[in-house]
Amino acid sequence: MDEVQLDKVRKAYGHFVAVDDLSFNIPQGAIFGLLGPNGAGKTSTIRMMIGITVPDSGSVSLFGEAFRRQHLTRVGYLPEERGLYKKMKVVEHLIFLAELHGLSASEARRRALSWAERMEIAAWLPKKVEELSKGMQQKIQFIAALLHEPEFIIMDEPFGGLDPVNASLLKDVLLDLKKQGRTILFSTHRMDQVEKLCDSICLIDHGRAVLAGELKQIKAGYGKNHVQIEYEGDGAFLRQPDGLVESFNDYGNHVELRLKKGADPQELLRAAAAHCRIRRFELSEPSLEEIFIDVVGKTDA
Amino acid sequence: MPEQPMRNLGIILRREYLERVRTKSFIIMTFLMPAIMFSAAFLPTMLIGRRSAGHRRLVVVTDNPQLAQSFQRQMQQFQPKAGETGMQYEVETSADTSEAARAKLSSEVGALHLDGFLWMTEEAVRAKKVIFHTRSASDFVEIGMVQRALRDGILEQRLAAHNVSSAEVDDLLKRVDLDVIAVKGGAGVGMLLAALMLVLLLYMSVLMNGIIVMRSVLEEKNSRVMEVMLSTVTAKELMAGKILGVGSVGLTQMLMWGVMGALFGSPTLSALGKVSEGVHFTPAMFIFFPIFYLLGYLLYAALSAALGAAVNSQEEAQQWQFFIILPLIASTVLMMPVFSSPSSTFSTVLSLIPFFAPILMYMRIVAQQPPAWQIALSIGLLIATIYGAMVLCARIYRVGILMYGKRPTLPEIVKWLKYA
Repeated sequence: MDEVQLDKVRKAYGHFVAVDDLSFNIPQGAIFGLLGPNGAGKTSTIRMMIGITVPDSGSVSLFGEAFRRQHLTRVGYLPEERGLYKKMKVVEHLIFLAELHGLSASEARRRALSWAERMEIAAWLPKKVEELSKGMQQKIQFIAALLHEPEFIIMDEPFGGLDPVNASLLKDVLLDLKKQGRTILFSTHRMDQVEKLCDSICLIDHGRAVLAGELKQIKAGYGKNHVQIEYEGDGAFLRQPDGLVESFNDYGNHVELRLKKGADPQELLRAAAAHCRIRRFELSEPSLEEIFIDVVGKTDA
Repeated sequence: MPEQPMRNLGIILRREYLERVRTKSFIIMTFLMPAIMFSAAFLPTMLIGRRSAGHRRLVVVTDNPQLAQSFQRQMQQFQPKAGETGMQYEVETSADTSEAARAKLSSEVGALHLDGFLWMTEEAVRAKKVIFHTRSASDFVEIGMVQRALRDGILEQRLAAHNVSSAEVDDLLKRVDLDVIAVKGGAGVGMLLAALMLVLLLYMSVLMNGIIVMRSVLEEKNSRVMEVMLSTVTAKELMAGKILGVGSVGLTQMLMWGVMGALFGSPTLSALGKVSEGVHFTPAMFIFFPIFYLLGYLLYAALSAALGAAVNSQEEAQQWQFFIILPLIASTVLMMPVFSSPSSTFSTVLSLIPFFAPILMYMRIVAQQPPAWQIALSIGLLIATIYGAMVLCARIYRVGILMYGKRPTLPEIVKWLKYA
């Protein structure tokens, strides 16, 4: 069953079209990546999914029904722009937000304690929000999005501003929720994270879907004509006009390149080995980052 | 989960109320405000009534000894009686009207040997231009005394020239006291004090709580709490919860002022004695106070909430805030004319205008109970205006709270009103 369904959704603010004819489905229990460059319309799309704004045309369905506000107690949302009431005590804030999601105060308190233990932040519960660091506030808000055990969870850039330890703590929780059959929408422009977590994606640009589907299929569609090379020394071989390399992206400590049609990777390896020390040479599908740059670059051109 | 439309509103209202009542500023204001009101109403009266004691020396310069004597005699009546504190005036006369004498007196005043001198030559009197040299040119009480003594002294001299005896002159000049006695239902001097206190309190409450609403909307917007709140509640619920929450805080404060007033009010008034004589309150003052507070507050809070949502910083807010509270400030300016003639057409019309009604209709009720239909009409118009303001402001609010960065122009705000 599809937990979430967007059908030909369109939203314009005056002359500016934020979301244009956007459709996608998220199956129950999947992790779905809503991707796109800054200003592509990700947040506008999410806002229509939780009733902050209403689409000009098209429809949004949650849990197999046309959108109703009552659905919202089954949705958890971690907004990209994070904020809490600074003067409130952490535990009271969690209870307040959980009550708005339909929980009783006592149940909310019980769950807040157990989640705080799990997120290693229990000692901070009696403090005021303003005494917490940014990262800790983010963990609090993460808990707030999950306290009412939502079936559909929206995470807008959940790892932004977190150190690796806490980011991995969050990632484990999300994977755990997936195992429990929850559906997760993950909005980001950080492709490396999506690649590790998502089952399917929708890449939007200028409010339109430019690439959508299961991650595996999308990658397979691009074929294994990508090469990742880690090397020491002169990288001049990349620029040789010998007809092997179609395009490349230099990431500093490694380079990812796309071969021309019919080019032999062994030839490239020989050419590269002649110039520098190779530490890794891997034939692969394109990374999502490559696909992103490829697709978005094209539509912008 | 069954639909519970009022549940979210209740949760938001409760949070707003509890968080605010617990703040230090609430506790301080609750106790400080009555003290400020009290001082504003009574201290000036007390200070003027109780002039500082002391001794002042004046010189009258004239070439007419009779006139000097008359002036001296007239000044005599201002001397404090036995047992009273006040200024003792010592008036000397001088017949030296030369310019040198004048310069010498001037330097004496400058050197603090003398408090002032009066240049009252025959010539000056004929020209009706007597000059009083003094260092305390702003002491209007003293200037008033000198002026009266001068006028009565000259009059006495003129009448004496027509063979009127000084006893007769005294009788002629004796002031007739005007006693103002308020008829039941009318306004007395004491009423004015009570009215001013209450109306000022009403004005401050509406103004301050409106500003609190604006600030807290702005804070929610800037801290981005809005984003997460809107994932479960509607902008309307959020705005209504905020306005009602802050409004209840105001009502709580008033209740506490009422209790404080009942406990300490009458003993304080009686301790003040003469100053507070005639200060009395009527039940109508207390019944209509919370009503007009609530109505006035709701109107200005709706406007303030919309303003808080439309702007991005305190500085921006302050520039616009003035326009919103302008009618409120205007009401206080119009207070005195309305109080002095509460039943005039001017007052009636003003007090029916919804933006003035909270202050001015209340003022009329305090001054002189207006006809019931006028009170009902002003409340009806107010409620209709509040409804309209809420609908429009909720639209601005809904769009504004999610708009960051750029300051919206007026045409843009008008466009927000049209969004579905």
